[in-house]
Amino acid sequence: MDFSDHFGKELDAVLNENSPVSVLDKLLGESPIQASDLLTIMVSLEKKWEEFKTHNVRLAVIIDPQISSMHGEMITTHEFEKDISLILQKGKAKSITHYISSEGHICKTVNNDSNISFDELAVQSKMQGNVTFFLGIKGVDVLVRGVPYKTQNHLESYKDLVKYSTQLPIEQYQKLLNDFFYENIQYDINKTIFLRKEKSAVEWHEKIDKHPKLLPIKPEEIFHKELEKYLRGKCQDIVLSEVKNRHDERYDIWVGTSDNNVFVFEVKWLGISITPSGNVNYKYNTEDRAVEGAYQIKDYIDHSNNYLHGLSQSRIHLGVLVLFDAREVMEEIKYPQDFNKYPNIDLSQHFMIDKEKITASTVYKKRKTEKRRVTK
Amino acid sequence: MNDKQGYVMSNDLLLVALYMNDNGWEAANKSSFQRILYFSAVLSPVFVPHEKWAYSFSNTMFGPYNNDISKKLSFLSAKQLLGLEERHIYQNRIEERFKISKQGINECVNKLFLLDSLKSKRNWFEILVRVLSIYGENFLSKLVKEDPNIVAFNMANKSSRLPTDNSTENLSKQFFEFIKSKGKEKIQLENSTDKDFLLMFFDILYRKYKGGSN
Repeated sequence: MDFSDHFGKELDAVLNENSPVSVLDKLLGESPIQASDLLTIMVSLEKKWEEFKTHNVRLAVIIDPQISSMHGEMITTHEFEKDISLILQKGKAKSITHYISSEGHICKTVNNDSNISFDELAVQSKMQGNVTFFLGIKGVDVLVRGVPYKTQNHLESYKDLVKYSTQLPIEQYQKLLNDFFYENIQYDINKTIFLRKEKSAVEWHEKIDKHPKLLPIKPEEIFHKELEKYLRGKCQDIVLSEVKNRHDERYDIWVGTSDNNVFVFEVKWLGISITPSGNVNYKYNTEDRAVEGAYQIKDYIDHSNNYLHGLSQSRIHLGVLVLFDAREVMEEIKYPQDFNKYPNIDLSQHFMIDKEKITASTVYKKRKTEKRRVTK
Repeated sequence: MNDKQGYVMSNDLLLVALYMNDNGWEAANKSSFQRILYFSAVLSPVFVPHEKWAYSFSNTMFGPYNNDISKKLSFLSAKQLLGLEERHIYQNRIEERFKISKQGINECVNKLFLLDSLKSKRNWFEILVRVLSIYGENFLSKLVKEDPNIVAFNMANKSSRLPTDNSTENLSKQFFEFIKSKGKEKIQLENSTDKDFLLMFFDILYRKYKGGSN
């Protein structure tokens, strides 16, 4: 494996002067605190504080480099609700400061009779050469020897971990697909779904005039790639793309849950597209293509052992046909009755794509009988 | 699996469970134990170079797997060294989540911590679980999926034994060394420790997952 080739983009993003470890190394200088220890505490603390920050109380966590302790409660598992209760309900402190070892163990806790401020902590951190975390309503601010630390790179690296609760489990696939559709596909927000004259060869312009909803070459690649990327960022469960690699030219996405359930998404599109030679492909402009996709899902379900390669601990939990409909006249698809016997196949994820956002009255006049999204 | 391998596996699982507990994990399923022990094994030539890993893993769609680990977790639970926190029965399998018990903690503190032969391995588990705790259980599968050994096996559609030794076949270890040499060359991370590079290793794997396969 050529690492520079396979991980090139990621290596460049991590191995640069702005990477968290590099920046922290420089800020820490001769301090006995190690960048990796600091980063581990920092990210864990940010994750933990997410659920408490809205209480609008202020806490300080100070790493004392003179203390080395591998015992006692870890700050990352500390029950902050007790601190908050002490401040808000019992009035026994205005703010609280925890002193921890560089490994993250709490060594001392001080109840302050006044509120702490970021500026005050910055001065202390600089004078004492320590690392201080300021936990407040906006989240966690970090001061390394008086210097605030927050780089874009740090946010990019770990924001998913801190904001994990915003990711959805694949069981909520209907919401994920719906959000994906409205954020990326509908009305062609990114101008990548339909061919546009300004981005197309002159000899195609006539065809674009004739077919305003003309799709580019191999639209399945766009829909598949965009949806897979979206799920990787927004779904808690794992996209198992290696399954796709075993079946070239199939545009399906397999998602596995932590308890080894597999959800299969078969991506299909309807409409007309341009071919590499500049002709118009009408082959997928009928509902037959959708029915074909439904049978593909049925095949996965009926022969799941073949597809799961003997994984006795797994099973296909649900097969979903994700249909992107870009036809001029988008109508409900009628599937054969065979599918009524399959409660583990969802054929209702039918997304009708409009090229432009048009007024409600125009839509009403033009397609008053159509539904935006078919629910089965 | 012989008796010695079984003994080593039990100790490894208990220590991993202990450090999970120290880092605030509520409990963990069998797959998470498999994945943590897999990363421990593949990077062991860097962090515990004198340790010859006693057991191996084969490659499956859900990542590295050793059936004996699964059985050993149930055994440790039956001996009450691990507590069974949750149990769900599905159509074709049982999902269980484990957490170290008080008895298990005592076993670590009073027996395993006293063994000098386990000291470096203990430190390694502690470092690894701590770093992986940044990600948490839900991200483990995503990290494992982009591990160089797993990627290479998936590309070749191989499900055989994954390399965990100090050979050049162990691509995960090779990749770690690669990051280290590039880091020192590109951004003069001369003072950085292997722990720093471990963070970078997982950071790269997660970015790779999120960026997609293309």
